[in-house]
Amino acid sequence: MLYLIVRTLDAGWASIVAALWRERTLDTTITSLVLVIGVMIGCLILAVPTAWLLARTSIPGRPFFLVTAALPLAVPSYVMAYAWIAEFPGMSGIWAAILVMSLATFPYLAIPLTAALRTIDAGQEEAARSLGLGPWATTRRVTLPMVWPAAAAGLLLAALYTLSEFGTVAIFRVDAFTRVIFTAYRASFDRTSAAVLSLLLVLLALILVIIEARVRGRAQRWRIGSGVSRPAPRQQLSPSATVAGLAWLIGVGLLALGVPAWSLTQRLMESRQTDFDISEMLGAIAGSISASAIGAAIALALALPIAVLAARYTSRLVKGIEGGAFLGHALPGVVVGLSLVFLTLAVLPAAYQTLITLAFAYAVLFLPKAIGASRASIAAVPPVLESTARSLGRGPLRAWFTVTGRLAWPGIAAGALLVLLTAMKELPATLMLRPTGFDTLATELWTRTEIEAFGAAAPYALAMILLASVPAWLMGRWLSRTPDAGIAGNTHHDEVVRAQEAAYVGGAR
Amino acid sequence: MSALAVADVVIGYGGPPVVRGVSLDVIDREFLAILGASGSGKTTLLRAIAGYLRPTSGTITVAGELVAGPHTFVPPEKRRIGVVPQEGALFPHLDVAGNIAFGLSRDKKSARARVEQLLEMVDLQGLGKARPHELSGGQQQRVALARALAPEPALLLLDEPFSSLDAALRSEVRTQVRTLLREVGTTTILVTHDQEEALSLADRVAVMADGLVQQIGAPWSIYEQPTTLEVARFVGDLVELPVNSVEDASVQTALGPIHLIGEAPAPADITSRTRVVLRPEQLVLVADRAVGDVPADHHRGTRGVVEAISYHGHDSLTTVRLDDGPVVAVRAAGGSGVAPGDAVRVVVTGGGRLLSDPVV
Repeated sequence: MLYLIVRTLDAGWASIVAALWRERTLDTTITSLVLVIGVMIGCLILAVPTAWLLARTSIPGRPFFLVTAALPLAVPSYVMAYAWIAEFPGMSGIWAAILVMSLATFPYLAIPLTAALRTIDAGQEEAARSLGLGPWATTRRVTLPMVWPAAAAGLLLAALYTLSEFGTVAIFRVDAFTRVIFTAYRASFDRTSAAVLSLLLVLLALILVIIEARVRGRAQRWRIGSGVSRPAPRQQLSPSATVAGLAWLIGVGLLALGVPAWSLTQRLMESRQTDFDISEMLGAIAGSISASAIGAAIALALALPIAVLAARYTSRLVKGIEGGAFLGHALPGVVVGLSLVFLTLAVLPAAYQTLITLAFAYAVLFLPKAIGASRASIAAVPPVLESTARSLGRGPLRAWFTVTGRLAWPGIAAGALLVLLTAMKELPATLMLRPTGFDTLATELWTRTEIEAFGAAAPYALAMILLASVPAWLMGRWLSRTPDAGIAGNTHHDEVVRAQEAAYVGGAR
Repeated sequence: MSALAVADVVIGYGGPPVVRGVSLDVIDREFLAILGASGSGKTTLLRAIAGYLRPTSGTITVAGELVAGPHTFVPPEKRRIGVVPQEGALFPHLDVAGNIAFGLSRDKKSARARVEQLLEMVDLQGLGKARPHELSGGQQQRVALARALAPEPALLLLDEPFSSLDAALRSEVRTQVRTLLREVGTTTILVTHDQEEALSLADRVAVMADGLVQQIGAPWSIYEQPTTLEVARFVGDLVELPVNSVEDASVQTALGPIHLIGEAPAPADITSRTRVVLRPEQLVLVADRAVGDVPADHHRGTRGVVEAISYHGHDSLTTVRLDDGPVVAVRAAGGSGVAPGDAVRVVVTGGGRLLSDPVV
């Protein structure tokens, strides 16, 4: 990353300014912003009614629709894009990208929003009613302010994800940052321009990440009082409203899941007729696993000390380190790929396009996920358990391993697994950094989609979905799980924050 | 030999110190309660004694061994101090026996025998295989106690161990714990904000406020002979009256002349901040009108009107506004037999003490 800046400066101010002021740069920025804002609006349209129906009404089949509202996370967005374009080959351009990205990312908003609406204490809304506010005024002055932080964080997450998404944008030929950077890199004569655009993209992403962190922090501060909270009662819907609500939920489900499923099945049938090389697929799986496993190991090794410190201490240094790692959320795969290309070529040419460099890129990209998961589970272990172990004669290290580490390891392991699975789906950095002839599931899907060999791509798309559904499934368990017996109370914001963290960690990036 | 000696201990978390110079001596086998409101520094002091944090200055000596001082810091695991934290803090991944055995040596046989012995001691025989979350709050608390006692600590620290229990259970568990600790004879320090708990359980009580020990002594002396107005207010209900004038060993107040206990004050000591303090049970209500055959007693006590009554069953606290202005509380065993608005007379029994509000 630093190297990217150096590299940019090397090119000289003149060419930087030139690159910045080119019409192309402005176009790219506008395209990206339109895309991001469009997806945010799309998410609101899809998620708000869904969350309200699921959290506050008597609509039948809620458990089922709760799953269908979360499931799009299990479909990597470029697999979804592939499925749509395979079904409707004419699709392209920014509207197509907004549609697909909205369908792919609306769970980021829908899940925390549902959790927030569900867990607000009925007492507060009742108090507002007893103070003379009507139902609409109550919604506006009590409910909305309380769910706002959760909703805003989810929305920003969707925006961030959209900004750094490469596959979908490329498939629909939208000239947003990621695609332009990648093309500029491919064209290789214009690497300065790629570097400048990368920095601009990171800057935008950083702004989103910082706003998101602020909003999330506010959500956590909002826990007042203790005692058992009672969820708000569900609104009884009239038969016609029930039909309309069901139609909405089913419609959203069909768009987000039905179309990809249908398209994929069609393509699978086709692929049976074309030649499908099983050994090639096995090679891709092996490639995916080997690179990702090394990446996960590096990420865990880096994450664990940070997570331990962040969960227990709040000194400025620790905050700084954690914040730095958190900013990793702002690094799109394209940018990490590009920086490592430059870095290896300049400093260590032997490492250029090697497995280790690729694994290192994964580790950098998914470090925040690993930290988030381990930190949350370490923080859930009350420090008093560790200090009690000390008073019973265990030294600091033994106390940590026999108590805190022992209780937190499922979360830590889940974090490592998440990094592993997420890295297996990574596309742009893999495309840039992989050794020649090295293939992963993601790259195989990509090359086949690029030449519009949709049928041949289908088995890879299916494999990707299977991979991606594991984190989504974990996330579902995380959401439904009550904290370990005897640990921590279960307050409203604990739950909302957990939903957000789960969405964060489980996201199919 | 004292089991614990704390000398001039100052503790801070970077900002202004939370404990500002505390000295304490705890005798072998003694049960000491440290009583204070939240923010008084009592828990911080306890954590320093346990070894969870290091004092800024001062020394802590446990059973004759210096454990914290200018050049010494013994980590918690080497101090032989047992801790029963708030809400028990049992290890959720271990069963009851595993929790109790946590601090024992790994010699399986002797550990098992000791666990059995402790389970019996805390009256939880047969529950060794139970998981912490299957136990009631009181049982969890007793397991936490057994776990802390297992390695035979030189000193036992109880950190508000009863505050998470509901009222009915609390007094029962308290009594059990007190009886048990008396049998075992472990020197114990209880940290609490509940004055009733401190007064009823401890051999001695140290009252903490603002990071300092305000007063230390037997429970009765804390209640009956408070040395500062702060302590007097914190430890139970209080009747405070301004001083009108002083005559040798008594003072004139809104309740008439009150005999003074303790040294006769120098006139210079009496300021506008000086108060005569009494406990509500030193006041008696007499009817201001004839009740049955008993004629109204117009010669005793001070006239006032009943403002409110809070009835507790075994006793009641009646608030009376005196005709001269001040409001006093009167405690009577059982009900007081009056209603709000009744005219009454208040009679003083016993003497009062002179205490002054600290200069702020």
